[in-house]
Amino acid sequence: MIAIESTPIKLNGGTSHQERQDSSRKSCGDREARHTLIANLRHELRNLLNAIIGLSDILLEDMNEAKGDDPAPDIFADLFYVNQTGKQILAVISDILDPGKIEQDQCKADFHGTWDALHDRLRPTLRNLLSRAEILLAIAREAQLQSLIDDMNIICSSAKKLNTVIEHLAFPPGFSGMQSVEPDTNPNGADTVHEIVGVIGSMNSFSPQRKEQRSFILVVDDDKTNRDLLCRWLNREEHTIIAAENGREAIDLLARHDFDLVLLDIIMPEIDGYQVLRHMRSTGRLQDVPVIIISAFDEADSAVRCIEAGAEEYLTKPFDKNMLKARVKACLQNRIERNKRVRELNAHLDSKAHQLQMTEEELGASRHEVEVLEEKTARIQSAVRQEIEKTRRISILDILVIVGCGLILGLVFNAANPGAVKLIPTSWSAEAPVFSDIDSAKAKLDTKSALFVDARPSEYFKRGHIPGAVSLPNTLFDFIYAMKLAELGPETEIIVYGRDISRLHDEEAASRLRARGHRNISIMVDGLPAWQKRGYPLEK
Amino acid sequence: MRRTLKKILANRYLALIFRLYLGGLFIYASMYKINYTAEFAETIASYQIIPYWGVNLVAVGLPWIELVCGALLLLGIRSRSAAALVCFFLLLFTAGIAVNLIRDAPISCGCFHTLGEKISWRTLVRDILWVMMILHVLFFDRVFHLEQKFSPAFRVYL
Repeated sequence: MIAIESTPIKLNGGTSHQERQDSSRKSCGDREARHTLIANLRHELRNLLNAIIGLSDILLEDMNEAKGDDPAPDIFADLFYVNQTGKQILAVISDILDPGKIEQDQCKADFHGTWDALHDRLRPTLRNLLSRAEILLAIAREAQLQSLIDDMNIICSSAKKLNTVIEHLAFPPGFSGMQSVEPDTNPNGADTVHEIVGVIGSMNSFSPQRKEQRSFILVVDDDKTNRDLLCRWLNREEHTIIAAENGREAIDLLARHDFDLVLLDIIMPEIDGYQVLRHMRSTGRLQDVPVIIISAFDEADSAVRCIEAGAEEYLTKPFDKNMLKARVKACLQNRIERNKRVRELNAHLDSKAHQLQMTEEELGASRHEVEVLEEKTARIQSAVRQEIEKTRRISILDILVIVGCGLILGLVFNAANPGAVKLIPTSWSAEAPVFSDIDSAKAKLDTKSALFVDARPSEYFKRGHIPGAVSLPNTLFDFIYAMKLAELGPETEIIVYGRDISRLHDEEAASRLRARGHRNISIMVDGLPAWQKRGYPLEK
Repeated sequence: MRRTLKKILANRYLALIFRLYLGGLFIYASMYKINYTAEFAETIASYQIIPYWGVNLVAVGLPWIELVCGALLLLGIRSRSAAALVCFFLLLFTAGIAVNLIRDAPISCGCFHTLGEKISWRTLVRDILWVMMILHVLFFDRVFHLEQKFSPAFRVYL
């Protein structure tokens, strides 16, 4: 039996029932406190009913599946009775502990009316449920159906606790509170940190292929019966389940594994469901993991708070199995579709990233090419500028090239020309000329013993020359020689003058005359100017 | 008025005309000298400027240098250098004519024909005009340089 008097009920808000009653009495009409108290009470009762209804649901479904082999149809009927009775009790509790109704009786701080109603309406039904459950347990023991025995043990235990709570609620005013309904301990005494239900193999051997086929779900609930119930339901759907009994453990598991879905209870020791939810939504890797809240709190505020915190769904205990399956399926489907979409987007992103990388590489190559071209352009521009500058300035090199080209062309042309001039004066290679002075030349003129040849250009000759002299410019040498001097004997003395203008005029003429066979040739020193200076006659 | 005159005188197309004229003139002048090298040598000797031993060499090379310069002036290739060389030659010729005019030497000009035209003050003035033209070319010639048309890159920077 539960020690009602000695231990005040520890409600999940962290405040004892007595304290809450005192507070409620002192502040008649303190809605908040009353609301919390009722909510916590409803939470406790619904948790117990969840075990009864949920387990009986599972058992009924098992029996339905094995209908042909069912050895005891009475068991099915009893189980159905237990299930339906549990649902009736749930309906009554929801009706009596409806926050709206309670609000109407504002000053009933001790809840006498409420407790009486609960006591009166539930006690007979609950006793019937308990007796039928005990009968079923006995039948199961007799038939040695171990799985049924285990489940019926839990159902009986939950029913007894529910009965105890209801009984004690009927003890005003001595009733000072309710003892906390301890979660059913493991029959084997195992207080597992976490248990894996239906896990195929260890987590580390989880292959991606298997993970793709089976969804990986974390169930977080401090109540073992609820946890077990959830795990069993989900395991039937061929999901891989990991269970955690509190928020801290859930956070630890979430950090180590990638879950597809989290079923999360709200009221838990140490770290509650809200904190786990907040942690998940603030952790990047866990932000997309869908969360279904399964709580015995059926207030809209709680649901709103959870949804606002990022939960996908909010289910109240005792949950409907079909609703649970549907919500889980929907969440997983959404997750799969989202993952698929994410994979597609990632693939698209990868493709774009690859394209971007290729483009970057191409850009890099193009940039390099552009740089090379720019460099080359700069060099060409520089060369062009230099060339332009060259065209706009007088270059010694250019002048030398022009002169050199002209000389080369001239020399080549002269070498190939039949009427070429000798670059080296012929007189240099000829024998040294004989010179005669002015006076002896005058004497020879007077005696007419010598022929005077004026080798200067004809303009000079026309201006004035020694009387009797023959004009024999180099340019007309051959012509005039043939006309006037061809008959001269080789011994005839010839005096050539013209040096006062250029040695070309006398030495060249003398050399050419010598080449014609004349042996007695001399050049008059100082030429005609010296002749004039002496006052010797000139002929014009 | 003064400004307009200055503008006209500094006109680059006027420089182009001078350049083409002088280029053609030098090509024409070189033709006779190239064909009658000996007579040109005689004329050079008559000027009494070039030493005896260099007369023939100058007579052989100078007409060709004139031809190259004239061609470069016409084509606008290294025209400034060619113009400078032409200017030098014209100054030399002018100086030679001036000196021989002062000497009263009865020599032919030798500019285009070895025989015939004797040097005179008119010849000197003509040469001075040519010198002025070539100076104009040196300072104001900017257009129609075939050298700058060789490559598109040149056109960009014209």
